[in-house]
Amino acid sequence: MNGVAKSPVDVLIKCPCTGMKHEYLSVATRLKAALMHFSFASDVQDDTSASWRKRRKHFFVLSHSGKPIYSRYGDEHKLAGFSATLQAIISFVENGGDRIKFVRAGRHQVVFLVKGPIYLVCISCTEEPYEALRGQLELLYGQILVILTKSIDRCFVKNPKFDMAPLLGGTDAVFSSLIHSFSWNPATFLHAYTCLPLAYSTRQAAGAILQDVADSGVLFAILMCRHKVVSLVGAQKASLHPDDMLLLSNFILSTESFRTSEAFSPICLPHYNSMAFLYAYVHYLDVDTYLALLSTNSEGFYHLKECRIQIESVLVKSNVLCEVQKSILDGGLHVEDLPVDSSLRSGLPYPHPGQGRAAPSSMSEIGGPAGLWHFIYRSINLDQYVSSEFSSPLNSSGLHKRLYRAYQKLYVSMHDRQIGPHKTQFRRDENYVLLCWITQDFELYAAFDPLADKALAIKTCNRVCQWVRDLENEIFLFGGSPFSW
Amino acid sequence: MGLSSANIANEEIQFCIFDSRRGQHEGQELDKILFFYPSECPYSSQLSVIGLCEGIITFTRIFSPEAACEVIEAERHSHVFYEAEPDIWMIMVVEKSKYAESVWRSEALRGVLKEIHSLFVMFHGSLKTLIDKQPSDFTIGKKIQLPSFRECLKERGTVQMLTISRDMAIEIQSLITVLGSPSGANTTYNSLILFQDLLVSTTLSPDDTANLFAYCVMRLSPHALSSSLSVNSWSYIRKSKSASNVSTVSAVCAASDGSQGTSHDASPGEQPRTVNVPRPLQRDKWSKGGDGFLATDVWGVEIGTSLPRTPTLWLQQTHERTYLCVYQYKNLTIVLLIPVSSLINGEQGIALVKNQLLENVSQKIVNIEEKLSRGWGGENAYHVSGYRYLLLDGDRNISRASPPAKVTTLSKDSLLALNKLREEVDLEKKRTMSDNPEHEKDFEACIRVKNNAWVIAKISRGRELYMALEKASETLMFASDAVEKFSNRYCEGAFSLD
Amino acid sequence: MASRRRMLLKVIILGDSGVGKTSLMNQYVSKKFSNQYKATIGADFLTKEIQFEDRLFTLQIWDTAGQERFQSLGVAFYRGADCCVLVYDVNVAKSFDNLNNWREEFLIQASPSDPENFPFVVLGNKIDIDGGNSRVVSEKKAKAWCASKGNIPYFETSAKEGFNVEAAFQCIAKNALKNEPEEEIYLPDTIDVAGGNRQQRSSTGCEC
Repeated sequence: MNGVAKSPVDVLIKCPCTGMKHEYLSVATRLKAALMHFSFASDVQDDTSASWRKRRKHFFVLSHSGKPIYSRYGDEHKLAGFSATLQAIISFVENGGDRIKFVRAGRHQVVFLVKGPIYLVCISCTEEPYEALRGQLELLYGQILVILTKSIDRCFVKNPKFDMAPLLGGTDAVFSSLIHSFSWNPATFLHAYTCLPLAYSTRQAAGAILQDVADSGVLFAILMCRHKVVSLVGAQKASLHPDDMLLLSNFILSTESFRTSEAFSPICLPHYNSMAFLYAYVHYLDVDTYLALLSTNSEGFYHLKECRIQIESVLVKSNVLCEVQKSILDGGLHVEDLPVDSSLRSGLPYPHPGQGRAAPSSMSEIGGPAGLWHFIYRSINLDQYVSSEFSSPLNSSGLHKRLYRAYQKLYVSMHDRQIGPHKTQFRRDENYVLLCWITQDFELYAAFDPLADKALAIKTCNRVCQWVRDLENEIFLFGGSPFSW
Repeated sequence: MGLSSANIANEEIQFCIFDSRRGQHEGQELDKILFFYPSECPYSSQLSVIGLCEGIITFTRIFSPEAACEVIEAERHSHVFYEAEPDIWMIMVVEKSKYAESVWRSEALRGVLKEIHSLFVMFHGSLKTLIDKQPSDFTIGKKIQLPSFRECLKERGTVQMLTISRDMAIEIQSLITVLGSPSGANTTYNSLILFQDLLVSTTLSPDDTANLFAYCVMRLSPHALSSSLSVNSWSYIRKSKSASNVSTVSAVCAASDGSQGTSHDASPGEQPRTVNVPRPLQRDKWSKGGDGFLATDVWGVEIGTSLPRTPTLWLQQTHERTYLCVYQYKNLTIVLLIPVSSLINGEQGIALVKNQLLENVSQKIVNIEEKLSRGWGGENAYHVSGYRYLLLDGDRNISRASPPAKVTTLSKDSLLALNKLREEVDLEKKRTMSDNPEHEKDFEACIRVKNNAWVIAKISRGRELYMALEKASETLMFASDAVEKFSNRYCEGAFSLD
Repeated sequence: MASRRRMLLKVIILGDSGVGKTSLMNQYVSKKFSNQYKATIGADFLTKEIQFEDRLFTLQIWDTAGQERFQSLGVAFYRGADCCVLVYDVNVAKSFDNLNNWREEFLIQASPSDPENFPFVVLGNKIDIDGGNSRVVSEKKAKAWCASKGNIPYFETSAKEGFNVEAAFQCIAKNALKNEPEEEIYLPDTIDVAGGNRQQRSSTGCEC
């Protein structure tokens, strides 16, 4: 078998013998250096460049000596002076017996996070709340741990000059994909995961075979379709934190070489055990669906390969993969399909040709009843959420992004550290009416037309909760190992 | 910042003013510092604080050249910035103590800096002019009480108005007219009239009104004059709780160079004499004379007599210096502003004006005062049962709120939640201002807090309403209805649905 | 074409105020914006890319302020430094005498693993002042001190010319190359299946 990376920038794909890993590092970093020397020569992206300064959201990672490790925009090396400035600011405040959190200037925020010898900074004019940006820096740090583990700290202790950047060579895509997900993936602030809607029996079938595999010495068996969970099983007492799942799936989805052949890679799950590697066997079963089997055994490739073969055959036989493909196409909840009674329909601000009971949405009607445009429902006990599909009038990615940012603000507002969580919030501005409920069991975030009627909106939210409960067997994953952390 | 813990001791606050154009050269850094509190703070620590602030100002300019740095939040301190004049920065450093009482809203803290600056400018002219003339140590005499979350239903920089009937308004208008047009003068005098600590009328611009009103409430109103013995001098924090939630700072230093620039005494060629530098924010310096006029010796005495000099101040609106004449009869305080340029013979002219005033309007004043006092609803005049509110009219800098004694009945959680909501609204307002400055902001948030209280913020048609309802029921609709009722009754429906 | 990765070197510039550190650096780096943070945070931060032999180097230069009030920042500022440049003014004896203090202070605060061999470079600046007539520290004396402190490379410079600054930094790069550590394999722990001890895996030959 040949796990050799096809793509030159792929670092961590290795063949089962550890000896090959070192070489791949050098190949990757050599190539990256060469690329940089040529392609960036004309594009001076440093802190004096106007285009660089105008970027809406920067992310930086640097060491506690001020050496640059990662920058979203620009060439880290050309930003060496800037990186030093960031370290100096952090150190200056620390020297005064304090720890800097953030700075605000107009629409800009500069947010700082110190994680031992690793410093993370976000400079953003997206007007996301501080808590949200800080959470994103935490995830960025988590992504570093997924690739390197927290043992990296030891390197800095041994040698303060340590240059960590080469170890992250070739992983730019992973970080940019994660950063991009901050603007479209609610999991990044909800800290929950979402499932692909499937018939209960289908998911049961998948879960059963994964369970068998888990019982044979696999720590976690995860069947994913894009970023949604099909099924997920952990051995005995093992539990998988939603953030770990997010980071793991981001890592897998943004590393091209995982798609082209089966792969066996060391990864770390920060919440499970931040200091050490696990080994992940990853194989795509079709263009969107992949299987990840996690083991503590670095020699476990062949065993996991066997497991995969077994799983694949069961999935094919029980039609799971077909169901998954169908679900991608038209699974999901659409607000226009919300079962309602006519009293809600009549409250619509838009004229409609005498519609009564739920029917497929017609062109003359925008959104769901009472002007409902979108919702996210989160089950607290299950740590899962379901988010409705997007439809008119939210039909551009810019509008989606804006809505997620509004949800994020709402989330932060409701989960105030000192006095939260609050119970209910109604919020209205020129863009939306937003309603949020938080109870012991669930959280609901709903967005309506800004002219929506308050009373009708409340009624609609009740209907949404009922609807979700009615469909819970299809949209959530039940059973399996208890997920407690 | 940059201070060793030994220096900080029990102080919870530092305050400084610096000029970033000065002290550029090595060895002259101290030139930058215009003022620093506490003054005992060693110079190296002062420079550390200012160094951090300047460094961050430089840094944020990289990404935000148009909007200056506003705040640095660290775990133990907040630094709040206010660029009072170009390159002249005022910084407040507050320590977040372990006690949960030290929760601030940075806009509220910035409001304190703005007020300090405005009052200073009103009496002394701009900082820049003074620095350019003769730079040295100088400051403000003031007791600063930091607005904690318990003051979330107040707004600095606004005036509180007395509601009067139409008839009263007409009577008062005629008084203003007489006050404003003294016989023999071809200028109009501006005036400000207060009933207790509420504004009745003003002929000044909103900014001048707000400044002068703030000063009156602090030092000139009947309550201010009589409460000289109480610790808390500000009328709208009458019954504040124990000191743990209020940080006080006494920042009283003299201007050492006498660069007061009083235009009406020094003439060229005259021997420079020690000019008594006015410190108008000192306490207990005003008293009521037998003639009903308030007098103070803050501005020194006339040469050769023991008569106090009439105070002067600058009006932003007209850029002129005026004399400050204050007449008080029972609950009514009348502030008359006489342009210095309109009186050739200084103090004598003022005495004439005062006599004229007494002749022409003293009866009017008595009548008005009596009618207003009769109709006055007392301390709880603006209390609305079941509601704790703050109403702001942004265009005219006017606010009205539940009396402080009523606000203290709110639970701590409700106040914290409302304070936090106001902080979010501050950000929302800034966002729309930069997005669509002409477009009027329309915003509403209703939050049911863990303790079941509702905290509400509404912005509509240039006005703002903040509210905490603790007795409301659980439903959003009920809370909304309560707000609607309030809006219809007291805000001309400004916050109601169309 | 560079075959290996660019090296990033953190270089600290130390010396009394007035010896001309900043003009030297400005000359060398020709950065559009200078003197931004020195008086406030305690140092200016510059990036300079150089090539030595076939390798590219990025120098992260920390041009520190001399004032005492910034002294306690040394530990944080000097952390992870690859080299330290000591600058003095050949026309000011005190600035030369202070080199010893600067060097010792640096070694205390930076606490490098091998202080005896930590790479320093000394620059004697302002040699051109007054045509060299106000010079009080001779080249001989300076070189002798440098030799006594472990053969520190010595360069004479002036901000006007600037060229010897280039040479000094080339020297820094050269020394860094000499001392470049072997590319280490990064090997975190793996989790023992039994859940007990952690083991370090060592690399073995590949058998595929």
